[in-house]
Amino acid sequence: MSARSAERWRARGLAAFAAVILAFLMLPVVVVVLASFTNTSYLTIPPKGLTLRWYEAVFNDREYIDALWFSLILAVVVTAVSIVLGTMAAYALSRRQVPASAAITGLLMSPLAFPGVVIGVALLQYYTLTGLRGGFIGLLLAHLVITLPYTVRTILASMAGADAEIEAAARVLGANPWVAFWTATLPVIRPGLMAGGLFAFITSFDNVPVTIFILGTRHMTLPVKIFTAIEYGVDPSIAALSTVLIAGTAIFLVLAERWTGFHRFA
Amino acid sequence: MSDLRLDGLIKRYGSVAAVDGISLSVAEGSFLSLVGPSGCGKTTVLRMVAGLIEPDGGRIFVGGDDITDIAVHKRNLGLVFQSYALFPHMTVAQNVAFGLHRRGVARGEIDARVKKALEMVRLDGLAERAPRQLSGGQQQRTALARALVVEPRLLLLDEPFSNLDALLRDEMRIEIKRLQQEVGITTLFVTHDQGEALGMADQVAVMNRGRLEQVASPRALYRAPASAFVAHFIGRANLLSGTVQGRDGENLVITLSSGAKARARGELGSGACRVVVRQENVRLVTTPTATANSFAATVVVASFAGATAQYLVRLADGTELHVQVPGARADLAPGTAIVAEWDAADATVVPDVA
Amino acid sequence: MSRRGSLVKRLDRSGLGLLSPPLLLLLVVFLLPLLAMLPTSFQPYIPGKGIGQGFTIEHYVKALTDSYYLEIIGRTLALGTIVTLTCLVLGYPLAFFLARTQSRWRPWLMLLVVFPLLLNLVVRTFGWIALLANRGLVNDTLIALGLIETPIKLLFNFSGLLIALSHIFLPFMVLVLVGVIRNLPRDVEDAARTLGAGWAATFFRVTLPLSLPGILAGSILVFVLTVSALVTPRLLGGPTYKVMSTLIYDQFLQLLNWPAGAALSFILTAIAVGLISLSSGLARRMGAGA
Repeated sequence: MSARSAERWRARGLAAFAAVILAFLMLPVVVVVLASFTNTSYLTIPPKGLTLRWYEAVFNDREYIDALWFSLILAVVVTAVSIVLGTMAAYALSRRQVPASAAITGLLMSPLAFPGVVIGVALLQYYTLTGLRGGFIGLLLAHLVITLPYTVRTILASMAGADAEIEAAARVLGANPWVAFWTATLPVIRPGLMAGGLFAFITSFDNVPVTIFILGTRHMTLPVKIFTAIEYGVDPSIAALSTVLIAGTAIFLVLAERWTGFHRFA
Repeated sequence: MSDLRLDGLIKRYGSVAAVDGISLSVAEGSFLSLVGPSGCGKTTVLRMVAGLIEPDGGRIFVGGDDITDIAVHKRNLGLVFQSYALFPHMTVAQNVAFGLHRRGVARGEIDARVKKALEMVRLDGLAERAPRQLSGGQQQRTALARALVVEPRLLLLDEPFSNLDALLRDEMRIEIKRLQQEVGITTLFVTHDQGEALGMADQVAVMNRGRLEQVASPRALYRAPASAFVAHFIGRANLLSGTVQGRDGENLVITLSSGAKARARGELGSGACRVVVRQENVRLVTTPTATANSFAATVVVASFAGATAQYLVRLADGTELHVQVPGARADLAPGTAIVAEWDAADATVVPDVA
Repeated sequence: MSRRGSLVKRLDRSGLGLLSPPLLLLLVVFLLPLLAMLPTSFQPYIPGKGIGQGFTIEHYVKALTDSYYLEIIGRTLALGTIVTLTCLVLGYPLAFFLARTQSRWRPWLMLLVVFPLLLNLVVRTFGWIALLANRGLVNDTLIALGLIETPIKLLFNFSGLLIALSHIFLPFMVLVLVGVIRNLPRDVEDAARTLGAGWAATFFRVTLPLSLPGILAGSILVFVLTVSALVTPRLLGGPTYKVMSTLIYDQFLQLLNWPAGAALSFILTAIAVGLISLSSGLARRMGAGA
């Protein structure tokens, strides 16, 4: 076999292996979607009979809809605030002489290093003492802590590619610092903002390890609700709800890629 | 050591032929420069010889053997990359030893050969350094040692000086030429710098848009360029448009676009042409010489550059000539009326290709 | 200029004005709660009555000597190690393919790798429950193919957790490795080939050593994520097959033994943070050497 065709077979082998692994990655997703259509009251794959009654059950379940709305609203608010705080931090670290900047950057990133469960239980104790447990503010603050590292990181990376001279030129031309930032720098770092926002949204929307400890009776998030539902026992309605989430995520991903070229940040 | 022969090499990218039928020979032990503007395909030719790119047509022969279908790692050639491509995770000595390890050379012999190779490029003493601790020139010499220590049949150099500053470049040119002659290895050297190409090579091949324009010794290339492209690419020349009228002994008679007559050397029988006059062959005098091509001119721009001086003069019909004179003779002010002239023997006629 | 004016100017120049809201947030909602939990870990716990007064290190001692705790800690670390190795073995070839392929499907294939990461963790874990259950797809397929007679127990044990966690964290490893492999200098591989190295020698002597920083970064990431995981071990391990995170969960929400839970939390944190600092230290040294 000539060297060139050996090379081609090697390449094909690698591609085949890659395809298998990719299929493996998709496996649980496919399984869940299939399971959601079964006519039995227990989980079975392949599904026995095809029905949409589990979807009907999910859409009629008040508690699930409420949890979904709450998760969405919480995630949107968290993302917005996280982007603002992240931009402030990233701007200061890039354009100002911050003392001990490495330490401060480390501090801002540190929630990533801590296991979610540890942050969760620490806040459980803290919020119980301060009366924040179960409330919206408590949830918001907790989610801000765990999403800030993502926004800071991506916006910091974007700022590194933004020329400080452009903002200076705007100032020379008569813009005050705020306008100069808004018109000269913000458009350039928008990809970082959007990527950071996406990570923040996903982190907040999906979170269980921190959220589960600080929820009370007043609010419920969707992932925690599904989590506790599974603990009690699995049935196809969970598969239906999961499929809805999968579809939503897929659409979200395609839109995100179209708007921001997301895959470059992953 | 072997000679190199390229036979009709072709490489296409989409509908564009980056290399369009290149045939070339490099005699054993000689040094050939392949030169041309960026994008002319010269690096593609080099990489096809190395085996890194697969040709779409043509054959490659080294020492008479057809190596076109042989895999890269079996060709036993030496290639110095433009970026040097030193292994960052290995020391200088380990870099140089790499090819020897691949050939299964015994440990003791490897050490001896590496040592000799490093001495040859004057890097002995730096064997244990990491590449990032070396200067640009040292990195390049390491790359050279690494390519030569395996005693390859050919040495291929891909624009090796483009990352060096001017002073270092001059030094390395002499260095590589010396090494090449010492080792006597057949060498193919690719560059876009015509000064380099002329200075180091036994033969120069000029490439343009995938094709060879001319292959000749540096002197022949300079004195008798085969086309307007070669004339302009190699050395700085004035190109005057005109039409060939006929022959007069050794010289061709040309009617320039200004209407004046001129004499020059060349082979073109008739038709539109360009007369190539090198800048240093134009003389600025007060009284014209009878046998030379003389024209009344006015000095437009004068600039002094140390060893030489550069003038821009305008002839009566508006044609501008670039003139280069020794610096000591640079005393003409802009506006001076002068005579610009050159000898027929110093001018060449090339076809006028639009 | 007034004293107040120059103070504002100094705050602005140092960036501390802009940094104070985020830093304040972290101080009040992150550092303080963690610090407040520290004394809790040293308080005694009286079963039936709750948290007592006093100072004791018994929770830490118990965690590191009691066989029940040691088994759980050992299981967590073993899981971390094997999941990391699995992700490395499966992930490197995929990452190599994605980094080097010229196919026009490349952006979509990359999105395919990213997609599971965006998906809710609970949903992904649920998928594995459906696959690994006694009447799940894996067992049904194996029985249908005649390879086994009775279902293999894949839930509530090490194997099931191993498979599911490898699947869940594989995209992280792949993404880190793709980034690293894409940044490898290509001309060194060409150089190795011109010097006589076939594809194997080129890969093992040049490509792999140069991707070591990325392998290290990806491995530490996956290891820390695995030992910190809560949702998947809880759902696939059930209430009886525990790892450190689920044990902490139980201590706080069920057993109400907050001191013990706190002590375990700090031990888990020490493992995670320790490894991450180790890796950045190593990365710095390797980066300097590369």
